Amino acid sequence: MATGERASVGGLIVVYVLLLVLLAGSIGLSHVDLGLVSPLGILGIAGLQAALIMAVYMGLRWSSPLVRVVAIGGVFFLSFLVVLLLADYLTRGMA
Amino acid sequence: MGNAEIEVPFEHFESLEQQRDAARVGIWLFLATETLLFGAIFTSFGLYHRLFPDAFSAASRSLAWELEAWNTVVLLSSGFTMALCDHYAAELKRGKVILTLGLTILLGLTFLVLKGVEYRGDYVDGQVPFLPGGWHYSGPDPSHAALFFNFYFLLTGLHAAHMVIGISLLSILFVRAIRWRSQFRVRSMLVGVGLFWAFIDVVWLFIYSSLYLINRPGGA
Amino acid sequence: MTNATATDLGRTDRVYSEDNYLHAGYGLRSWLLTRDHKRVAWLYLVSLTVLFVVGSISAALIRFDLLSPDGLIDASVYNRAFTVHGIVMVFFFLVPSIPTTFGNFLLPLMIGARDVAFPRINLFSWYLYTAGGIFVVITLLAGGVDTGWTFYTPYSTVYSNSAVAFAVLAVFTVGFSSILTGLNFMVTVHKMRAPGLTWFRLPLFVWSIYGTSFVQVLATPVLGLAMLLVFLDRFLGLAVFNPDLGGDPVLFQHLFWFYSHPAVYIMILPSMGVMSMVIPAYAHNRIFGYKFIAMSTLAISFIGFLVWGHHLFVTSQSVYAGITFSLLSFLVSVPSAVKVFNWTATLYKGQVTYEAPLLYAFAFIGLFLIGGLTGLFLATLSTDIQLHATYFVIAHFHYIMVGGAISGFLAAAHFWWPKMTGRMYPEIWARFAAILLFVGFNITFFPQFLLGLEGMPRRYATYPAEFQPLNVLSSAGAVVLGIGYLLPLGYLLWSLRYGQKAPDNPWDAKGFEWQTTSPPPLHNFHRKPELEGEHG
Repeated sequence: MATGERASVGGLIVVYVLLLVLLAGSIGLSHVDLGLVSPLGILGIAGLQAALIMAVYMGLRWSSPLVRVVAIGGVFFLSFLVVLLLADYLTRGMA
Repeated sequence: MGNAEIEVPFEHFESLEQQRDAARVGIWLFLATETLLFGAIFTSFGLYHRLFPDAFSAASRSLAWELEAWNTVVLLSSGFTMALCDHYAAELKRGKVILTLGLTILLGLTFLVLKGVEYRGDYVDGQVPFLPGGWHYSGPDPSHAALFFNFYFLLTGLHAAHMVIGISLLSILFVRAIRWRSQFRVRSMLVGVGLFWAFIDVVWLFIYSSLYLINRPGGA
Repeated sequence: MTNATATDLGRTDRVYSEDNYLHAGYGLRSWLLTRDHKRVAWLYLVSLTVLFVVGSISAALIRFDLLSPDGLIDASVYNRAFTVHGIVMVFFFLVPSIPTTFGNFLLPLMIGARDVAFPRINLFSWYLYTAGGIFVVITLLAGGVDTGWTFYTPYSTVYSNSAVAFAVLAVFTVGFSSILTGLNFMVTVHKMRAPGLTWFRLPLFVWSIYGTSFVQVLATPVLGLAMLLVFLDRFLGLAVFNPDLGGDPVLFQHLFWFYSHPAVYIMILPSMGVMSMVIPAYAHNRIFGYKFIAMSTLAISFIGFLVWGHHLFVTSQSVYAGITFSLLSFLVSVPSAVKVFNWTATLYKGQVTYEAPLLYAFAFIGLFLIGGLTGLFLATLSTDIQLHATYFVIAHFHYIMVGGAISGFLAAAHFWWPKMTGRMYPEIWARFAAILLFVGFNITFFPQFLLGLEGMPRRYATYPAEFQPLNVLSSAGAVVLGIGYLLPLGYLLWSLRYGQKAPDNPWDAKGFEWQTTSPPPLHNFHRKPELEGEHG
C-alpha cells in the first residue's frame, strides 16, 4: 500500500464478522448432504474467505498491479502442477 | 533514527516509496513460494483422496472438527487483531500496536495449545501411523487411512511450524514495540509479518475445509 | 597512472582505480558481514570453487572406475560417487553458478543501481549456501548417499542404508538459498532500474537473470517439499510415497521433476545471457534481434514449467500425459533455437576479434547445439524408451550443462574479470585453455552418445567388455578436461597479483558496467551512467 490507502478499523471489523459468518456457513454446509454441492461449496467458501483476507487484511485492494500479479502468480503456476498431474492420474488405465 | 521525525530510506534505495514497494513485492514473492509449497501438498492430498475416497472420508470423520472449529475462530481472531495492529502501526500509535500485538501473540499461542490438545487426542485414539504405540485405527481400510493421517499430520504440522515462526517474529516485534527505539523499522517489519500471518490464516482455512469439513456426513 | 599498455586496451587512459570496493574494508569481518553485492559475489565464487572440486573428485572416481568393465572400485562406493557428483554439480554448482557470482556482481551495475534490493538477505543466501555445503560434507563423513541425485522413492525413503536424511537436508537448505537469491533479483529488476531504463533497454544478461530468478522462485518450493517429504519419511516414518499404504512412488517423481526440469533452465539461461553480451562485444556489432532474444528468454522460463513429465516417460505415467509432455518438450526447444540463430547472425558482418571469451562462446554454441538436438531424441516417446537411463542421456545433459553452461561461466569469468578485479588475464593461456577444454570435453562426452546408443546403462559400476574402448577414451578425455579447468583456476589467481592492470573498458563494449572504473567503487558509480544506443 505504497499510496497509504488501507482499510479503516470499521472495514477490518466488517471483514472479521464476515469471515466468522462464512465459517459458520461452511460448517453448516458440512452437516447437510447436498451431493457434490457440499464439498464444492465448502471449498468455495474457503476461497471466498481467502479472497477477503487477501483483499482487505493483506491490502491487495489498494496494491499496485505488480503486487497483484505476484499474489496471483503463485496460484497460477500451481495450476500447472495441478492440471498436468491430473492429466496423468485421470488418464491412467485408459486404453 | 529513534524517535526522529523523518523516516530515511536505506542507502541503496533512492526513496522511501521505492523501499516500501520493494519490500511489499519481495514479501508477496515469498508468499508465492509458500503457495507452491502448500499447494503441492494439497494437490497430492487431493490425488490420493480421489484414489481412496472411502478410506479418506472415514478417516476424516474421525478428526476433532469441533475443537478445530473453535481453533479456527481463534485463528481468525488473531488475523483480525494482526490487521488492527498493522493499521495502528501505520499511524505509529505505540500503545495500540503493543495491545493488538500482544493479543495476536496470545491468540496464536492459544491456537498452538489447542492443537497440542488435539494431537494428544489423536495419539490416544491410535491415529498416529508413524509413532510407536500410536497406531491402532479401527476404521475401514487402515493402510489407506494411514496415508490420510500422514497427510493430516504433514499439513497441520507444517502449518504449526509456520505459526511458531510467526509467533517468534511477533515476539521480536513486541519487544521492539515496547522499546520503540526505531518506530519506522517496527512499522515496516510489521507490514511483512502481518502479511505472513494473514497468509498462514488463509492456509489454515483450506486445511480445515479439506481435512475436516468436506467429508463430514454431508460431504462427498 | 603511467601504465604503458593502457591505450592498447581501451578508449580511456584510466587504469585500475585505487578507489574501489576491494579497498573499502580489510579483514575477515569486512567480507563475512558485507552488504556489498560485489563482495557477496566473491564469497560465492570461493564456495562454488570448493564445491566444484568436491564434485570433480567424485567425477574422477566415476571415470576411474569405468576404465575397466569389471569396475575398479566397489559398486557401493561407485553409487555414492555418482550420487554426490550429481547433487554437488547440480544443486551446488550449476544452479547457483552464474547468478550468484556474475549475476550478483553485475545486476545492480547493469541497471544503474547501488546494490540489490535486499543486501542483507543476499548475504544470508550465501550463508545458507555454505550451510548446505557443510551438510554435504557431513553427508560424506556419514558414509555418503547412494540414491542418485534424484532420490527416487521408495529406495531413498525405505530401502537405502545411506545418509539420505543429511543429503536431502543439504538440498533443502541450498534450495532455500536459491529462492532468496531469485526473489532478491526479481525485486531488484522490477524496482531499482535507473530512471529511463525501460525493460526493452535492459542488457540481455539482465533479462536472462530475471528469467532465471523467475524459475528459481516458483519451482524451488516444490523441490523443497519433495526433500521435506523424504526427510520426514526417513526421520519420522511419515510416509506418503510408500506403496504399502497406497502411496505412489511416481508422485515423488512428479514433484521432484516439477522443479528439476525448470532447474535445467536455471542452469542454462544465465549462460545464454552471457552469450548475448560476449558475442556482440567481440563481433563489434549490435546484437541481432534483441526483442526476440528477450522474449525467447521469457518463453523458455515459462514453457520450461510444462515439460517435466518427459523424465517419467517409462514410468506408470499415462501415455496421454506422455504425449502432452512430449509435444511441450518439442515446443520449448524453439526459443533456444531462436537465440542460437540470433547469436550467429550477430557475428555476420562483424569485425570479429578472437579473445578467450569469444572462444568460450563458440564452444557454447557448438556444444549447446549438439546437446539441444540430442534432447529431441529424448523428447520423442518412442526413442526415449530405448535411450532412457543410458549413457545417451548422460552425454545429452553434459553437453548442455558442461559444454553449454560451464563454457558460459568461463566466458563470463574472462569477459568480466578485468571489471571485477582490475586485472587482465593472460590472453594466450586463456585461449589455449579454451581450446583444450573444447577438445577434452568432446573426447570425454562424445563417446558416451555412442555408448548410450549401444545400450550401456547409466549408474552401473560395471559394463559389458565390448564397451571398454569407448569408456577408456572417455576417461582419457576427462583428464584433458580437468587440465582445461585447472588452467583458468591457475592463471586467474596468478593475474590477481601479476596481471596487467585493466582499464575501464578493455573490450570497448557497451553497458553501464563498462562506464565505471575497473574495479568499481563501493557504490558502483562515481558518475551517473548514460545509455549509449538503444539498449544495454
